[in-house]
Amino acid sequence: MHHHFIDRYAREDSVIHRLDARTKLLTAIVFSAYVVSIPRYEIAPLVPLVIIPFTWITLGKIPWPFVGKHILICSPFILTLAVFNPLFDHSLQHIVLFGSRYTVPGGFLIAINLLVKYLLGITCLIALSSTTRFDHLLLAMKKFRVPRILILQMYFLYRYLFELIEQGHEILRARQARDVGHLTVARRIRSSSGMVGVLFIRSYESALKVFQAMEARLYDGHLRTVEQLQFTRPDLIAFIFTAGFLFFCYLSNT
Amino acid sequence: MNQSAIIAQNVSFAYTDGTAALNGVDFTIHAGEKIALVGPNGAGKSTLLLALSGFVDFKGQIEIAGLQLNRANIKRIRRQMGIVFQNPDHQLFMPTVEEDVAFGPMNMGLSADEITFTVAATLEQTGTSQLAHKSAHHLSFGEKRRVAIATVLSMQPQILIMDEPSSNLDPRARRNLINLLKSMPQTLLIAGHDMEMLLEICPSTFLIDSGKIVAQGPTEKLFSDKAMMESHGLEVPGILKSRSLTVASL
Amino acid sequence: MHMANELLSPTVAFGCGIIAVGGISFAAGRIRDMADSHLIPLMGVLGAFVFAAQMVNFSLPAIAGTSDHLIGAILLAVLLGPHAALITMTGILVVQCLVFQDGGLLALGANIINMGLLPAYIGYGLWRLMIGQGPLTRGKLLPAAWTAAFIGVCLGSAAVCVEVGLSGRLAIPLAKFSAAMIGIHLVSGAIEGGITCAILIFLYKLYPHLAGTSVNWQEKKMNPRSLVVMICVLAVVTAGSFSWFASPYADGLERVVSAPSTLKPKTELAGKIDTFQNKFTPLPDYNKRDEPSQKRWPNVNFWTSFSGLLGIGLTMFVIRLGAGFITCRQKVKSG
Repeated sequence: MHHHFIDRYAREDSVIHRLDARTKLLTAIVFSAYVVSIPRYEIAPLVPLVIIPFTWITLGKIPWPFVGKHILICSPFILTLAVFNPLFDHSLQHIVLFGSRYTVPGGFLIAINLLVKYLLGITCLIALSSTTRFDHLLLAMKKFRVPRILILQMYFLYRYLFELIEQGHEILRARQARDVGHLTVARRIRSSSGMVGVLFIRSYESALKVFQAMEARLYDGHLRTVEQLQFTRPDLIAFIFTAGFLFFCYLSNT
Repeated sequence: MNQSAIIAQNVSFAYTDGTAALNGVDFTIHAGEKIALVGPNGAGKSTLLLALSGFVDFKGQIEIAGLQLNRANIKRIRRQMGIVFQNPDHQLFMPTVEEDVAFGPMNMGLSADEITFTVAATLEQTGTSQLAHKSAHHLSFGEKRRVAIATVLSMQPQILIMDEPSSNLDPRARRNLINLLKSMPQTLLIAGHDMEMLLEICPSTFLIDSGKIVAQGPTEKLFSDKAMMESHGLEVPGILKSRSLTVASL
Repeated sequence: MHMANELLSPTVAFGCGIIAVGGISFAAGRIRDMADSHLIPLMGVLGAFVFAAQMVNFSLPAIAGTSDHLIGAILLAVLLGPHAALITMTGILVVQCLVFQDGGLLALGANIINMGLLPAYIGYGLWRLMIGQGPLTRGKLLPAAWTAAFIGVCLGSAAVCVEVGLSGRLAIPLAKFSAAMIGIHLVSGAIEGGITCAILIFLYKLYPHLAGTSVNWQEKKMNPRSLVVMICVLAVVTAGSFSWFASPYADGLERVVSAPSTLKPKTELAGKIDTFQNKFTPLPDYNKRDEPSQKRWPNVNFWTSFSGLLGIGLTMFVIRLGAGFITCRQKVKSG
């Protein structure tokens, strides 16, 4: 099962990778909450917040081109939304830039505010998913009392997703192998629905068989793991750093 | 001690569309025996194995390790009897090999130390210790097969039933598998088409066709019976043809 | 329909989170006993399929330059029941957020409500209402599935508008935003309805036991209950949405055209007070946008919509009377 896109770096090793998944998940949540709480005409308080995702990605040894490409893929909607704001908000706001005072249309500020917040949020998420194994994230959620059935669901979803993609590739390849030049669009569409149907049947039947295999090994609804999460000193350091930094930012804004 | 491991009495099962998969199957397997289950495709081999492991709503009686096969006993029975399915991908569903092999023992409630020990011992037995931390999906087919067996062996069952364990294996992997199976003390019931392997491992054979056991007896004798083999869609394995034994009908 | 963090204020995000958590706990409690059943493989596989389906963006036929994707919540609700459907959708949304960064972390609560809670429960309720008792026929399935899916999607998009409105993070006027949002989803809801029907027919043919009741594909007649519900629902949606669209677009156009002349530059003091307000008000301030031509959303065109609905209601009553007449006469003829 080759997750050649998203999870690519989750199984690497670095200081960040070794942190407890709970620390990282909590950091992501707290960071996102703080970012979102910044009022919409403020740009200055957002700038220093860059430090946290930047540190995360650098120490986590995640390549920046990868991060950049990801951001580009996910951005179209928010870009559109941001771009339209200046059209509607013509109120004038005052900002101080490098010592001199300027008057700027509010909508413009909102657009930048939105974009910067978005960048901060998505970079944080990319950092989280690239430095944490998904099954560890699930363990963290289990510790946070997320219902068992939901954890199970996500576990299977994750597992089946990549399998589904692989099977889909296989089926597409099989069709390609029989494409000698007369595969019209109409035929493509018609065979696609058949392919999806076959894909579903195969997936469902193998899901049933996996479930049988689990029951044969006495599965009783509780997904137990050998792996355990453990808080270590680096976690404490990370926590103090993040909390301290955010608190400092908050204080300097008021 | 010759207590029975599996007793099947008049086991029948029909699919929802009416086709009968099992049609009054009767047999007894004694503890420690190694039995081959052969027959043409569609004869009911896989269905019988599914019935024995409690995944099919059959009619009749099945007794495993002295326990009646029913809803109340199924968990205790599954501790005594492991099933290795045909497709190893369906049995490897944890992130690493180690966790897959530990899955059964964990569900059995063993302590962390016992689990560590059992997992290490089973990996050793199946020759897969070096694969412990690998993701199950990066393994070769032969390795997956052996790990799949390990996932069941780690529960230390008395009885092991297997569906086509040697299919799709390259010669070396197949030889490793045969050696492993020969060394295991458990009661074995192996369904398959690999006649030479079954000859090597199993002294006795059940021949199943159209949902019924139509013949049983010593493997070599049964496999050499050309008339019997061919009337049930099978062939006398090459290794026996050269010995040209002729056997009276059983 | 995945919302980003920036669309919501912390309060709204938190509130939605609470509601979502409540809904999930409720659903999880309901299916606790089923955790050992064969629902799990089906939930897993369907989850993966819906996930994959959501990744396929289709460009909408009626509205140039926009694209949308399937949600799948109603399909899940019909196949798995509303509780398992909510859990499955939540799983999908969390994985999308954490692994694929689709949808913001803080917006998860809202996304779960819009694409999970509302469509699963209300869609399921509509479905059950329309198929009634007895064996499932094609005549029952098609209208029920289509309507449930359509309404589910529209409700979800309406909820997005409510959440965005309450948050006050956008400068785009709510009426315009809602018009675009709901308008787009009327079309994609219709498409989702069609696809839901097709998939259900395919699955029930293959695995009749999934229907939970006997299936009779020969019966093609639409049952009257389905028909009535469908007409009601369509009428409400049409009347409501058309009357809502009429004014905001006029308003919006008016504003854009006349904006420069109505705008008064703020004094420096007023500007400072504005900035102060922005910084410290936890809840969005509805009075910020004080241009006189813009009207506020929940009150917009209430009377227009209401009179539209009244008219439709009367029409339906007359139709019902007429239908009753016809049935009576037929009975007399055959009986």
